[in-house]
Amino acid sequence: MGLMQWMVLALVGCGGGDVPAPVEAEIPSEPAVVPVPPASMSLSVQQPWIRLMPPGAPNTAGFMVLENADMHEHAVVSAAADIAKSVELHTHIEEDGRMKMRRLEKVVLAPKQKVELKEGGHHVMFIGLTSELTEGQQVPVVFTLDDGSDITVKLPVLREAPSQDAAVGH
Amino acid sequence: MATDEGFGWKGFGLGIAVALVWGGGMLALKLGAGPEPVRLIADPACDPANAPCSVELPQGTLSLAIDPPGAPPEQPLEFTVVVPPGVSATEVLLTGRSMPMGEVRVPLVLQSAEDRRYSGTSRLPVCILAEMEWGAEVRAQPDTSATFTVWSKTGGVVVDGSLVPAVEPTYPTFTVNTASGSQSLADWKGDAVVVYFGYTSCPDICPTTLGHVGAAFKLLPPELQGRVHGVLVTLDPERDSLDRLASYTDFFDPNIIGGQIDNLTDIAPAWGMSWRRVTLPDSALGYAMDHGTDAYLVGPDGSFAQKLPHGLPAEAIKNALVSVLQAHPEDAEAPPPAP
Repeated sequence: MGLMQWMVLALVGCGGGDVPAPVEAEIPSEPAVVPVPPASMSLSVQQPWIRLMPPGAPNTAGFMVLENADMHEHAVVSAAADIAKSVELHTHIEEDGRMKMRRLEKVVLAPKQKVELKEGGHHVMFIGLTSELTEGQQVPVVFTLDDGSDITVKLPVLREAPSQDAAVGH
Repeated sequence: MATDEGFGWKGFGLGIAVALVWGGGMLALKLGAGPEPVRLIADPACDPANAPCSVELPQGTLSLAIDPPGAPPEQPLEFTVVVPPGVSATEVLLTGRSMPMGEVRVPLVLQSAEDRRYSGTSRLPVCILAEMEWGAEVRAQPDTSATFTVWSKTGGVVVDGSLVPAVEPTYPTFTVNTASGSQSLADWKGDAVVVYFGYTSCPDICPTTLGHVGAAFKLLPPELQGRVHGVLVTLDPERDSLDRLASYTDFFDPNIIGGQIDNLTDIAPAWGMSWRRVTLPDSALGYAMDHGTDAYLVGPDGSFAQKLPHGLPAEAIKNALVSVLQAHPEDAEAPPPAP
């Protein structure tokens, strides 16, 4: 799905409009001829951070703004990091004044949309921390997208969310 | 996940759901004055993905059950409908309520004429939320529609126990057991206390609130700093040892203590807290606690002063603390601050 769209997009994008029409017809079964850009190329991350937790706390959470720059839907399907035994995508659902935390199968990134992973909402859950984090430490986290491509993001360990002003200089 | 055992068909006739009647079709039907459409909504508290739910038609009881429990998305779900005599079921129409997910039609096939049991199989589209609310409308002839509320749960979240409900709050005093001994709330009379119920595996909500409380303590004028206390009462004594609680709360402020209370299921509801433990079979977390997120401010007279809702900034918490402490200057160990 979307392969032909990608091909057309790639051709138009790279060829400047004067695309020879027969190319698609000749090689419909060889997608490798026209490389499909990995979804990770379209993904950018802003304001990443990971919460500094009290010593001995078993888990922590990471937050960021994910932006999908292209016209196709993508999804973050998993995350991995050395600092914890398991890394999962979670969300909070508020219901009748109670907060419920649940695992997410994936975080869908609609075309040209931003998705906020923020306090009280979607977050990256680090379960079973294997070492004490220190404030300011940079934690590399690998996010895998639904097409198998991945992107590595460094999350600074902070006591609280970075202020909006800090993002301006990004 | 057992199909037969889980359903308990013999019991459904007890009528576990309350039916509300839309429109006034029932009388007309009974009198045979031409079948008018019957539109019923089942009690939304009964989820057919947990147990069979029923509504009362003019002809008798109609019930719906969905297997496996939790109606996980992207798995075959079996919809079983039992109708009263004189009614034939045709289909179940599923409509996403949490977000627009289109419609799913489940045609029903008669499985047993004797039991008037119909069934059909379908699967729900992928959920991006951990739980999704669906309307399941059972359609039958003569023109009948009964709509049930279904929660589809990714990974088959299991609610281990019913929610411990909040009761009319009386804010009773309690004694918390901590790594450095026990502390009674009553012993803090003359000071302001912030009471919070949470657990240390909670990576976001609890540390946010306790962080704000700790920051508020530090914003207080020096003469009031010795007159405030915070207490984290764990809802998860199974995982939260006293030592873990102590290092957890010390991080936020030395005036916040963490501990367990013996009669949690009596005390917490009486503070307006409701919570439940839920198993998360799809998560390394194992289980989580759904819980209320308010903190509670107790004044120097020992009585409840106000709720501090989740997300309240440190500055606002500080102001609330100053307000209750200044309302009781006679309790002050130090003279009240100069105006």
